[in-house]
Amino acid sequence: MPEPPAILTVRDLVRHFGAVKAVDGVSFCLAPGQSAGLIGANGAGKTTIMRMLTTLDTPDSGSITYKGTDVVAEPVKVRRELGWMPDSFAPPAHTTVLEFMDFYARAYGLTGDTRVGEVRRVLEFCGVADLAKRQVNALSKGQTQKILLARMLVGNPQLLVMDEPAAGLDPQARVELKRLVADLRRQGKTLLISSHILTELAEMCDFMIFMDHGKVISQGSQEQLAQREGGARMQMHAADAPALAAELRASAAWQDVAELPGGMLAARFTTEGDEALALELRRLSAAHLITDFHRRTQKLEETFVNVLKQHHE
Amino acid sequence: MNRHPSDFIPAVIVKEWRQAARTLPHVTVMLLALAGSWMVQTLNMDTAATNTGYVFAILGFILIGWIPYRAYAVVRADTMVKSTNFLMLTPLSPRCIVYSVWASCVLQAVLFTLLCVPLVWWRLAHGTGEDDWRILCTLLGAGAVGTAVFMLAGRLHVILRIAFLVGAVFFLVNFLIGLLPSLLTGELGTTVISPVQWFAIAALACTVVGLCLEIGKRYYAPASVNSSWVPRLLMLVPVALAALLCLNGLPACKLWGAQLDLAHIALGLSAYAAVLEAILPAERMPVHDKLAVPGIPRLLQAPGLAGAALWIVVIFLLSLPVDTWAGQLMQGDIQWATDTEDSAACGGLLSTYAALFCLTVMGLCCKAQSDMRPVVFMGVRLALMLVIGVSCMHSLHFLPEGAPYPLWSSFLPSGFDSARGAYPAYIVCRAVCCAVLLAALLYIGRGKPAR
Repeated sequence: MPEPPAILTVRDLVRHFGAVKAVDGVSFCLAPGQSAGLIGANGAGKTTIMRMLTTLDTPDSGSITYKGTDVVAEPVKVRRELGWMPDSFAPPAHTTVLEFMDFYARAYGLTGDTRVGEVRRVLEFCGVADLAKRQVNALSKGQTQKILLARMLVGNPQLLVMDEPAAGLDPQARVELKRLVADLRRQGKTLLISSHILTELAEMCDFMIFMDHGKVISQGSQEQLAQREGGARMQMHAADAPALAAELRASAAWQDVAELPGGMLAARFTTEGDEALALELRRLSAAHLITDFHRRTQKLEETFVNVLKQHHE
Repeated sequence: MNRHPSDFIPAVIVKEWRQAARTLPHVTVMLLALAGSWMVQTLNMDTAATNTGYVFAILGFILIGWIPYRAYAVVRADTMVKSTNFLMLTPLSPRCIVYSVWASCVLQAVLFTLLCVPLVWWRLAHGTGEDDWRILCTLLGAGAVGTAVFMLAGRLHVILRIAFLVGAVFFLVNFLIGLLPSLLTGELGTTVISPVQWFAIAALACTVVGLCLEIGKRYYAPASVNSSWVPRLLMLVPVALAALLCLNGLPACKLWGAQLDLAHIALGLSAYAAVLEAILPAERMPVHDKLAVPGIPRLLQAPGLAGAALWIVVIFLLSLPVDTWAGQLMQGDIQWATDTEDSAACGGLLSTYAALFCLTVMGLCCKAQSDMRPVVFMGVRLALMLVIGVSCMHSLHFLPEGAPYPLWSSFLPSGFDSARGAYPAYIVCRAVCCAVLLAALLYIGRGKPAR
């Protein structure tokens, strides 16, 4: 967990839906300007947590504090600083994009030229200024997501909560979304994003929160999460890859041995220390025809799967 | 500060007017009605009275039928597109949102009225349209009330919404059928209503509008507002009142020529609790530590209509001995329903049963997916009401003269029977039952969230 002072603190959050415990003692903190990813399978409790953070739902127990203000006790006070982008949205009929944005600008108390300027600013930031006169219910999925993003940014909120923002987007739209999120991070906004697309989350976020069945099973930066596993992940290319793989599997020092296409091998060296690793690689090179070896950065998916496996064990 | 003229209008009204102006069916109907009313007024000017009647009939359709329906459609559309969540995140208060939607519809009604009846304004200007003024006020007032009612219907769960709409449409159709001839002949305008009656009607209309809008605004409030301690205390009012009545030992009293006994009061209180439970979104009201009323078991603070079903079944079965009830049904001669002296009380009782039964069925349908725990403790809670606050004296009144009291009736709380005098055994049994049920409630409800 990041060091205080945190802009958002969640402590022991619990939420039931009947007999189902959707959120079970969740705790995490976000520092100002941090971008956090909420990762979990369907039903893990991500959306429930987000709805409680944005005052749309109330926890059964636990606390949520934003800049020192209790979100449950004083939702109106924090609402101006929160932006929320839902995972699904059915657009209203008979409304243009400009009218849609104009209404929320009015709702946030913006008047006159300030309101007009703010609407123009957020539409241009999201790259949808040319869609101003289009009907909201006539936009594509990617365009709608941008409009939702623009709507979220009206009023300049500091904490942005985005629930599966990339869901259903084509590759180009995803690239554009990542660019927008990067721009928001540069502006110093604090982001909490949930997604199933872990590769993109890894690019958008610097802090990960893994969830399973309503519980937080691990959290930290990607490097911290990978290091918690211990050891070094190596990738090697050998002419006699099957024989090398067999030797690695027989050795207690190597775990998660996997044969990859093209004579490649991936494995994790569990003994700590670069010197031990160097000695082991020299020994293997002497016995096998290894043409390439390098340390591999563990992908977020692998980290998540491993953490999940450890949690179930 | 640079402000546009529209900045002085609430944001929701601006939005609603924009959408209304773009909704083709709405604009078409309004324009056709406007054109129709103008045509009627410009043709056959020598039969002005009849023309006015037709104009008011068109106006009645728009103000009492079309605009309230539009209000319902707007609220339903907001629910369907989940824009409620977006609205809840804005600084707009729930009251502002709901009243603005209502005001938007009322403003459309007023504008349409102003454009629709130039003949009326001409007659008023010449001092001959005083009756028309009464008709216009009646139609506008009825339309405002109808709009609020239909807005609430748009917010309710599906079963409640259907029942609500059926009732509202039934009422409106009857209202229109009853009103239409008066509109066409101009008789409505000649009805003399005293200032006091006007005030009473206006107060009643404002009350209905306020009630519908205040209930509707709860659906625009975050869960933390809906989970406030106020509605939960309201749920306890029937229990508290019933307990007070019991402790006060009120005897039966005469009212409107019929006996108003504790049964009617208790059943009325149960109906009140059932209505509150039907309207409050129970599924979105977790009993959080910070929001629960301290000192009161949280089991008592969560609503649930299934317990009311248990209540109705028990009270109905215990209100009459089985053989008497069955015998009267088989004979097709339900004596107490035809007894003119008690017809008012019986009618009230039957209405209460019918209302509670309908609400309970609807509540059971709505809560099919929810946790069954509310059923258990609601049953216990309402059983407590049954024991401490219910009198079934009306049933005892219909027992044959000299018939012994059934054993189970010893648990009924009424200690006084106007026909037979006091029955002390009731008091002892009631006290025992109260103690047992209270202990059960406290045991079940200790320290656990009521979900």
